[in-house]
This record gives sequence, structure tokens and C-alpha cells, in this order.
Amino acid sequence: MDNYDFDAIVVGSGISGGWAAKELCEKGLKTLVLERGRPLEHGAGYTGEHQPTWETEVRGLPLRDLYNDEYEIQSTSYAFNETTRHFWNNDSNNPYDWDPQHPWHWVRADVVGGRSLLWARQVYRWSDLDFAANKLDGHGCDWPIRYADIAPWYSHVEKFIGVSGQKLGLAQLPDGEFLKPMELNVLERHVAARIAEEFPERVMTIGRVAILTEPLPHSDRGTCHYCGPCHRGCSVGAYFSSLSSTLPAATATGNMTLRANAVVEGLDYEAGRITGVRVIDTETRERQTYTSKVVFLCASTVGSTQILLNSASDAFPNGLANTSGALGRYLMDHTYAVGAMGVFPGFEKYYPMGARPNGAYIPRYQNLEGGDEAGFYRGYGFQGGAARMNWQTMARLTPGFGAEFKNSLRTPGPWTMRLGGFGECLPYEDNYLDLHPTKKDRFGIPQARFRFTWHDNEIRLRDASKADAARMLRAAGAVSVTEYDAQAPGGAAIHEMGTARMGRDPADSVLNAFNQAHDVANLFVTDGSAMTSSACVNPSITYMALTARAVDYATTQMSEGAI
Amino acid sequence: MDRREILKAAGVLLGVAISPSCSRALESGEDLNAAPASGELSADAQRIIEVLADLIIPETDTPGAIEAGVPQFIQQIVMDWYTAAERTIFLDGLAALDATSRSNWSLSFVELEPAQQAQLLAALEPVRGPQEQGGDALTAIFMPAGAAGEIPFYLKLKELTVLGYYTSEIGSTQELVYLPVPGRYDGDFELAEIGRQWTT
Repeated sequence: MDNYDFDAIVVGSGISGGWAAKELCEKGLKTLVLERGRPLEHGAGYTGEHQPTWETEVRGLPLRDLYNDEYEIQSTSYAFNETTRHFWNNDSNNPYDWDPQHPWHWVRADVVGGRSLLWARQVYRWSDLDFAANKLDGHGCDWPIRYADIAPWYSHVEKFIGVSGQKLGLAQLPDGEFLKPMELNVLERHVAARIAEEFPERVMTIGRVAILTEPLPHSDRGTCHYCGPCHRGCSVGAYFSSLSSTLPAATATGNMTLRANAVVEGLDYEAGRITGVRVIDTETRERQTYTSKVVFLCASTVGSTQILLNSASDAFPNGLANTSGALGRYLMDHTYAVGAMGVFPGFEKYYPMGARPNGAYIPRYQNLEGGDEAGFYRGYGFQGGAARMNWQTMARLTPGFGAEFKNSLRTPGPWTMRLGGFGECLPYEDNYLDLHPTKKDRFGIPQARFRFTWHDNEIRLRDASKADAARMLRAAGAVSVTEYDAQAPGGAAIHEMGTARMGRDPADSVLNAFNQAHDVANLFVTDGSAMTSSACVNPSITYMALTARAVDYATTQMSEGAI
Repeated sequence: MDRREILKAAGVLLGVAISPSCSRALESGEDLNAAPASGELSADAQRIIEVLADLIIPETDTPGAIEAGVPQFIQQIVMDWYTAAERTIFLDGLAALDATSRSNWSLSFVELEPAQQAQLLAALEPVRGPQEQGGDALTAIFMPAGAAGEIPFYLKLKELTVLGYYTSEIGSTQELVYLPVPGRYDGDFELAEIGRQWTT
């Protein structure tokens, strides 16, 4: 192999890294996948799967001392508990510069498979409303691609991972290659019908999720059995994760070498090329440098950016591939944990069976021509769902005690429905991450530091989404509606992106239209850091599609001798 | 076989199917409960908690809090999980209940007739004003787990009793319907088919 250890090195084994590994291996490249986290075996590693609450430590209550001391940030996630803790990062072992004055939540896994194990599985294609937005309203640099460039790659990804959903024919939320949709429940269908009557431009549909509702022709992954908490791991592989899907495909080629417990400290650069990937073994602290013809950074937005910033050299004093100065800047997330909840009378006859790991979705309906007609730029969509109040809530609402109290809790309480807004965040130069000048982690790597605030546009958009959620619930017949806004800090939606953005001009972006560094031909970055804007939909499928597209481009370039 | 029987049978089968996780827990050799307790409750306090848990969730056509091990759960939370301040709220509440009993009837709380015990407990029920149901529901949904924090004794007691009961094996499988692997989703399923709540 011409004095290279491997044809390709992929840093990270999560959603993007798994895809890079599969595509590179299937194209015949000998590929090394480096993962800083611990090894984890599909199935056997899911020790919390189907575990009944009475077998868990303190019945599902948080282990407060432990979480405060070692999981201060990670334990803020809904998916963090004793059935999943072994997947997560230990904040005291692997810290970042957490500063309550500049709150930013960096939520991350620490195992092979990364956050693909823990993600919420919602997948929505972007549209040209999103790809053209920066150019149209002047916020951020123009995306170097449009929907037509990525559409075939969305299809490529969807067919492989399996996405269940309902086709709607909406320009702002293109349809994909869908398995049969999950179903809305009886109240959600009622609310959907009322919304359609009252707000003809709005649609409520079932969420589009990377969960199998029917078998895939190319795979032996099982279909969903509706146990509920996917994030504990699914040994039949009903939801997409690197472990259930892409890594097995890469393994099957015989071309993949996977090394866990291997944190990348930095990349070596010489004469226009990445010449080495410097690794520290997290167990032994042993250092090693691997070489390859091409490097794919898929270490997550923060992880990849941190590696590039920590690879400064005489050639790139401000961080590798950072001639533009954009590296680390334009950090984005989605507005989150804001919306409304309503109580609905009626429908008492019904009580859904099965824990559907999915909800209802209302696609964006604001500013569909671009601009700021709605009082802000860009837009928001809603995720939510209807359920009946359970014993825990009802016990808190029911006075008294004794046999009557117990018997009243036997049946479920009233129906409630919640709608939560996910809003787009504009790319701002002053929202950034960098390396702390003095704080280092246990490997001597400078800690990531964050400076992020929600600007006026996000606040206006967040408030509007809250009011809209309440209005829709009222119109649908909710007897009482409460708005909520948890004022979630940046990072809390775990949709962080944008710090090594793609663009047309090497002067204002890090990556070109194929996720290739403008400055370094054999360096590709295909995780969330590549995103030029944030849209308002969950971004993971776009990372997957960009990754597959970038691999196709890179391997073509390699075969033509350009890389 | 009607649906209820099918579900029951499925629950039994699934109960067997999930046993590997039990055996994993055993094999791991971990006994986190063996961590040294901050202290044991006094025998008196333990007896009062037993009486209270039984008052809140008595045996009916299904077993009650005592059989489900709720008093032991409450002791674990109060002594090992609660902060010192939370523990004080709880233990002061127990002591006040006993003190009221002694001053009213010159008997300890556990020596009272059940009706008298219930009367004292009922007196602790907070007076609720006319409620705006949505706001109230939201507050209820987001109440701190385990009634941690400044929440008063009565609500702590009730929350821990309810949590301990409905998350116990007895509460989960006998009072509620335990179906860990439903196999399908039915958004139009009718409550009458099972007549009670799913274990969540």
C-alpha cells in the first residue's frame, strides 16, 4: 500500500463514521476506524435492554451523588439513566470547559457506535428552502450544494438504514424512500384533523424514523416490537445504529480494522497533505501515529473541530485547514424544550397498546418563500404526541389515600397532548468553540471551550413556536393549555453543528461542496461540523448522505490520482 | 382464551425471556444496596412507615404496599438517597405525626385504631384550591423525582409509597399490566380490553 498503514482512516464510529467506514470498505479501501470510546458489542452490550424497573438501582431514580460528580452534563439528557449510563461520556474523566456563565451542553457517548446508539432516530430530508436560505436572506455563506445534489444520496441512505414515514408531497419536507409509517393514535388523528381544518397550511403527520416497520431486503435486522426505550440498545437491531447496521456491513467486506479506546490527539500535515493521525490509547496512554491516503473526520461537530484546532502548525497557525478563520465559528443548535401541553376531554374509551418510539410531527409552515414575513427568519417544526396520564402523574393529582385512591389509579388519567418546537438557529460568527488556553484533559489535549448565545432571531422564533403550539392545541379542543419554555442552553437539543462549514469560497469556509478541506486535498470532514446552516429538522440523515457522497467523490479522486 | 388471558400468558413467557438480564446482574457480583447506609431508621420510625404505606396503598383484590416491599424502599430512599435536609423534612414529619397522636390520645401512632391513623394522615392533605387542570398537570408531570427538594412530608411520603409500589414487581405485574415486548402498536386499543394501566 505505498508505505501507508491504510488506504483510509475514519475518526469516529458514530452516525457519520459508521457510514464512512461502510462506504469506504465497500469500495475496497483498507480502512482503519478509530473510536475514542470503549468497545461495545451489538446485543451483548445492551445490558439495560428490557430491564424491568424493579431490577434497576433505586427504581429508575437518578443516582444523584454520582451524576452530580461524574455526569453533570450527560445526566441532563432524557435518555440518560442506569439502563444507558454505560454508553455515555463520564464528564469528570473526559471534561470540557463547562462554564455556567457561558452554558453549552456537550452531550456525548463514549463507546463504539457513539451517539447512533442514543439518538432520537428522527430523520427528515432538507429541501432547497434550507440549502438556499443563507444566500436568500444573507445570513451565513451560501451552501455549495442544492437539494438535487444530495437527493440521490438521501435515497441511498434511506434504503440501507430503513426509514418509516408517510409521504406528504411537501416542497419544504421532501418525501423519501419510506417503509410503512407507524400510526398516529386516536387523539393525534383528531388533533391532526382539527389542525387541518383550522390551519390549512399546516400538516400533522407521524414522525419519520430510522426504525424498521417491515423487514429490509438486504438485512437480517428485526422489525420494531414497540418496547419503547430504543436508547437502551436493541439487540434485534430494529433502529438504525452503527452497531446494528453500518459497522456490520463494513466488517463483512473484510476491509475494516476497528480500534476502540483510541483518542485522536491531532493530525500531521506536510506539503499539502495529512501525513499522519496521532492516536493515544485511553487505557495504556501509548502513542501511535497511523498513516493513510485519505482521512475522514467523523468525530462529531465538537470532536472533529477540536482535533483540527489542536493540529495547528507553522502552515496553519490557527488550526489545520483554517485559512478562512471559519473553523470553530458559526456554532449552531436548535431551539428546544419549548412548546405547550393541553388536556383533552373525551376519548376515554381508548388506551393505546405498545410503546411507540416515535411521535407526531408538524413540518415547518413559516416563511416558506424565505424572508422574514413571520417576524423572524427561517422557521420551526413541532414534535409531540398524545398519551394518557399515567399512575405517577395521577397520584400527584389525586387527593387522599387508601383503597379508593389505589383503585382510581388502576385506570389511566385524561389524555394530554404536547407539541414541542424545534427552531432553526442562524450561523453567527460570535457563536464559537475554541481550545481553552490552559485547561487540558487527562491526555494533555486542550479542553473545548464554548461561547454561545441565542440571538434575537432565535428568541423571537422560539416564542412564536410556543404561542403556535398553544393555539393549535386550543383549536383542537384542549380544555386547558399550558405553555412551557425550559430555556434550554445551546447544545441541549444535541443538534450542534457548523464549526467547519462547507462553502463555495475558501475565504469564508473550511470545506468545499464535497466535504473536502479547501486547504488539504486528502482531508474530509463529514459530521455536523460541515453544516453551513441548521434548518429546523433533525440533521443526522443529512450527515449520513453527505458522508456517502463525500466517500464517492474521494474514491473517484483517488482513482484518478488527484488525491 | 380472551385477550386478557393472552396478555397474561405473554407476560409469563416474556418474564422467562428477560431472565438473562437478571442472571447478568447476579453474575456481575455487584450489590449496590450493600453500600453502607447513612444509618438505619429507628424501629419506631420503621413501624410508622409500615402503617402509613399500608394506609396509602392497602391490600385490595391485589397485594398492597407491605407485600410489595414499599416500607423497605422508603427506608432506602430516605436514609441513602435523600439529602440531609430532605431526610430531616421526612423524619420531622414522622415525629410530628407521632407527637400529635400522643398528645391527642396518649398513644403512639402505631398503637392507634386504623380509623384514627387515617384521620391523622388525612389532616396532612394539602388544601387544594380550584385547579387549572393543565397547569396542575404540568406541575405534576414535572415534579422532582422522588419528591426531592423542599416538598413537604406528606407529599414525599405519598410519592415514595406510590413510586415504590407501582415500580415493584408486584405493583408492575399484578396491579398494572406488564407487557415489556408488546410486539405491535395499536393507537385505537380499547381500555376495556385490559381495564387497567400498562406498566411504564
